[in-house]
Amino acid sequence: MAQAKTEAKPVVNRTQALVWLRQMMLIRRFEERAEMLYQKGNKIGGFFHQYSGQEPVAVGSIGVLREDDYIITAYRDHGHALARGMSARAGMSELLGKVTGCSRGKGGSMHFFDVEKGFLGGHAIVGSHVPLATGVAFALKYRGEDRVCVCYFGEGAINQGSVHEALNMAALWKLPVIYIVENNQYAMGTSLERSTAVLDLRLRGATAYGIPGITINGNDIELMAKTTREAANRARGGEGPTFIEAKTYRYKGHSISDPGKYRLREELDSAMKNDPIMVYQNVLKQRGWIDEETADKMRDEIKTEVEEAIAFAEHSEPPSLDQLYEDITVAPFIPQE
Amino acid sequence: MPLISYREALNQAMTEEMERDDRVFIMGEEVAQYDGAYKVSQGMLKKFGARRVIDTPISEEGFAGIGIGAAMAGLRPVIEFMTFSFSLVAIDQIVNNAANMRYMSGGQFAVPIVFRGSSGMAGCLAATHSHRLEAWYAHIPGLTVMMPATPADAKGMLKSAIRSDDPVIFMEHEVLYPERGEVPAGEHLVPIGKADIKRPGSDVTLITYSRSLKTTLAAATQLADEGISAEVIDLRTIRPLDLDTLLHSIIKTHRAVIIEEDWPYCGVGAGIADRVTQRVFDELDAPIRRVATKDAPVPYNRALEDSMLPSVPRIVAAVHDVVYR
Amino acid sequence: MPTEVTMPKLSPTMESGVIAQWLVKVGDTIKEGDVLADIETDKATMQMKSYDDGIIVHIDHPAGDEVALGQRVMVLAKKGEDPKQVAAGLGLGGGQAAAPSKAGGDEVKPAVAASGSTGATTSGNGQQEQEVAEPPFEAHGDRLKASPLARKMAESSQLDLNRIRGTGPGGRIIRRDIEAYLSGSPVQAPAPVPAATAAETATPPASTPAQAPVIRPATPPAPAAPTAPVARPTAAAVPLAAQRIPHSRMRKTIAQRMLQAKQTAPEIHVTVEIRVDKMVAIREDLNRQLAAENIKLSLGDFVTKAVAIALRRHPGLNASYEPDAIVRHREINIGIAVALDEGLIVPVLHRADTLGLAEIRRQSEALAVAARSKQLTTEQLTGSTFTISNLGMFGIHQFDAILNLPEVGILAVAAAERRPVVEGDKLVPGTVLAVTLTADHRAVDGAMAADFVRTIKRLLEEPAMMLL
Repeated sequence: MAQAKTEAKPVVNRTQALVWLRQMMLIRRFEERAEMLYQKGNKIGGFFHQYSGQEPVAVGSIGVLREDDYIITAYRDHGHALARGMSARAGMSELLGKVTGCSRGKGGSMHFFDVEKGFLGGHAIVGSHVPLATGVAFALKYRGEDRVCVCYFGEGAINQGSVHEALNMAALWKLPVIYIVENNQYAMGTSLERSTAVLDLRLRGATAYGIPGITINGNDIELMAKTTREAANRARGGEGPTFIEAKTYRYKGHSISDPGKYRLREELDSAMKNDPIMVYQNVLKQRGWIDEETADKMRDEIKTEVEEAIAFAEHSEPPSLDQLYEDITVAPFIPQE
Repeated sequence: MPLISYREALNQAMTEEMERDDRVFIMGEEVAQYDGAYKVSQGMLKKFGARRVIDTPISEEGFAGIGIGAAMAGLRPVIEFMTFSFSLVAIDQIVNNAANMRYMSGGQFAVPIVFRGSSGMAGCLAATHSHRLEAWYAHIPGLTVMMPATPADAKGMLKSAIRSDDPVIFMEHEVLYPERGEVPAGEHLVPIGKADIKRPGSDVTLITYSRSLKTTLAAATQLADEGISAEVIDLRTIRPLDLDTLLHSIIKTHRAVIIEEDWPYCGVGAGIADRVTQRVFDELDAPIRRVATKDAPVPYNRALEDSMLPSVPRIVAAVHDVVYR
Repeated sequence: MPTEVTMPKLSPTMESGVIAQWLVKVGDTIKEGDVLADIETDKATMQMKSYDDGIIVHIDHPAGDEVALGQRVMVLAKKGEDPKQVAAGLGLGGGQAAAPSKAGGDEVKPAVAASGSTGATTSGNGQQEQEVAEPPFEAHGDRLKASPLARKMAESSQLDLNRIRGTGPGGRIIRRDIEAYLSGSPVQAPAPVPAATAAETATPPASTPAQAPVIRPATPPAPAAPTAPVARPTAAAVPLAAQRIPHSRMRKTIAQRMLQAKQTAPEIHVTVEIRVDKMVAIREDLNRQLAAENIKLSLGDFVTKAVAIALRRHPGLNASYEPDAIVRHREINIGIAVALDEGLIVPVLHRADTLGLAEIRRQSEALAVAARSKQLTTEQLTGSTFTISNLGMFGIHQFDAILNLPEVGILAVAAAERRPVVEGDKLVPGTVLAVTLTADHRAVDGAMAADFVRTIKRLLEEPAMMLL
């Protein structure tokens, strides 16, 4: 059984904690079934990157944000979108390329968007969205608002130039942005040791720019929440960006076609023994906030919710072919043909 | 009408738009304290302050992306590239993020941003600082590409670009900055996607844009002396192309020559020739000719550089070919 | 129902996978998440996992087989199903992993052949490539060269370009050459006149192009607007080459059948004029109601309906004339003549008497579409017992059709016209449609023919009668 331990004292009340547990379960189940639709039904195409194992990072950090804050992430984006409140329906429909999808079938797995929720998208060029996050924070400061922008990227992105340019300007201009590096140990198949000269990411992403840097266990959801809340308070107070390295682990391959030959089976097994969802469930059990029966009921509800989302997606219409030219520009688009 | 320079016209456009709309700001290298590498933003820091006229570090990819992010969050940035040659290190931001954002978000996020700056072969700047990248950007669905050739157009087009809800690549020409011309004071808007007949004629259609307009008009004058009446069309907007204006001219003249400062292969002129031929093949009495920059990297030596450029003799020779004289 | 496990998509680009090894066997109980096999994809060797619980009753392919995406690789008995019964239901007797490629070998979904036919095509390719080698770039020296504009001008003035000498590069015929030719001062003299002079003298300054230039829309290409041929005095002197169009098979058939009808059948013609005001009103009313279904009835559909009913009442017209007998058909199958660019074709509306108006419209339209796209089936082209030829859309006042032998009747339908009609002692405006029956007098006498068209007239003047 997964060890019930957490480094943090409760930072939330029972209601909030149960919402977080539920969100993690939803992300897990959503991806399990999406993987099935991909592999078995051939209903999902292209690249498909799963978040399994990293759920506490998104759920814990997004869980302490305000509704008017912004979130932006990379291509492994299902978890962040669902944690921000996107419906399983909208996400599943997008994976199936339907017009009811969160990006109307034009984005796919890597490009979930939700303007209503301040979800600025999943982005697929590594590091390329980090300047965007910085620009959003620039706009917030320009307008004198106390909102923040949270930007997620993998540890592989720390070697991309655009990231460093953005970090420098964010620090220079004290922008209200929180950079959360999800260090899941592998940039596709290349481990940190094989790609990065200085292994302490804080030295490269924080110290180098005079940004406060913290490394934490990202799979401890309440620690994740507490750290993000502190960073958000700094940002809202005009003290500028924070760099959080959240250590975590992904269960699946980089994408669906990755057999994960670069890591040992034992490494994955040991990570899965401490599955963060089970860990948190046990924490809540020890606090007397949930029992086995309630947890099972929660899982059943989520299964139903995801199956319903699949049915909705399957019955939704694909975009009509004339929508090829829609939403390219705000002004009427003239194909240059 | 006041007689002012192309540079001042651009400054006027930005100043007027910033006065009109607090969401508009200018960001780039040396735009503020230095008053602009080419003095286009001269005096703007003093007028608007450091909140809206922002010097950046030398990080084109970074501040291009910051501009796009700010636009996604509701501002209307004007991002200056000291020259568009430097936009090559920011091209991922422009092509992947600015151009695609609206589409891949299913219409949820617009990117109302202007990337502007000098472009083209300004003389003795050698291979890396003389790029003409209009064909690169015009290739991309989602971008608008504008290139003014006169002070009046510079002002009217930049104001329209800033008011556009879509990303605009606005390429100025370094050689044109000191050019003077009549510019309407105050509100003056040139519509996006509208070419302008800078000289009417009936025997041949000369299609051009940006600095090459000057050379082309000079060629047209010389041709008139020979009794050949050339119609000169300034594209102004490269994407979307004002095909109608071109076609109406060509069905009148039955011949076209395209003059561009870019390299020939896969250039803007190639795209235009293709689209014209598709539509009015039967109106053509001669193949469409192109006068482009010679296909070599840009050398430092001035004589070599000048030999590459479209020139009056090269344009006149091409016209002779198509009018069969 | 047992669960069929299919080859999963384990990479974005895979079309098939090779079963590297099975990690389970027939009889194993498996649950969701269990690894079933290692699959070699185009990218890597991947684990194939189960999405279902159950007992394996059959494995379709041994290790080593390449299996296309989505093809069945195994069958599971679900909870509550008897594995033996499931296996029996497959008709495979609970096959072994090693055996199935034989057992299932002649099924519709064999393993993707890794070699075999693919190899054969590949070896054939070398030859093919040589055969389709690109033609040399240089065009033939004797090919006539003309600018697109010159070609267009020549066509509209009906000029033979071969008679015009080109003064452009490489002898290209250009606008000025056409203009010079038409003005009677051709540039074709042995000693080439300086081209510019010729053009200048020949070109009237402003109003040269006689036809409006047509800008083609980007997509789809619209047919060029017909341009009125321009009468030029000089053009009349040019002998105009006639165009020779060899007979198509369709043309030969039409010629032979029309001739046969005229030579063998003594025809009679009876014409009747029909007041169709009521029918027009009903049609408008019906069309409003059918708009949602996207059906638009034509007057022709009413005629078809009336003819079908009339044929039921006059079986003598729904017949064939054969040397020793007249054959009266039980089925009323109406041939509808459809004009194509290359000729005429008569698809058949089978059992037209059983069809309602909407169905007549739907089927007629489908037949016309199939006819134009040359997709008519033999069944759709045979079996007609009576034919209707409708030229109403051309505004024809009245015409006679030629029999479609061995049928004994064909009805020619003209255009419904607004015109003054006598009603009592008054002249009132009315809508009148003329139909003409051509009948084979060997089988149909004058009175029979007249009676038949009178029935049609009654039905169309009082369309409610068609309900009876």
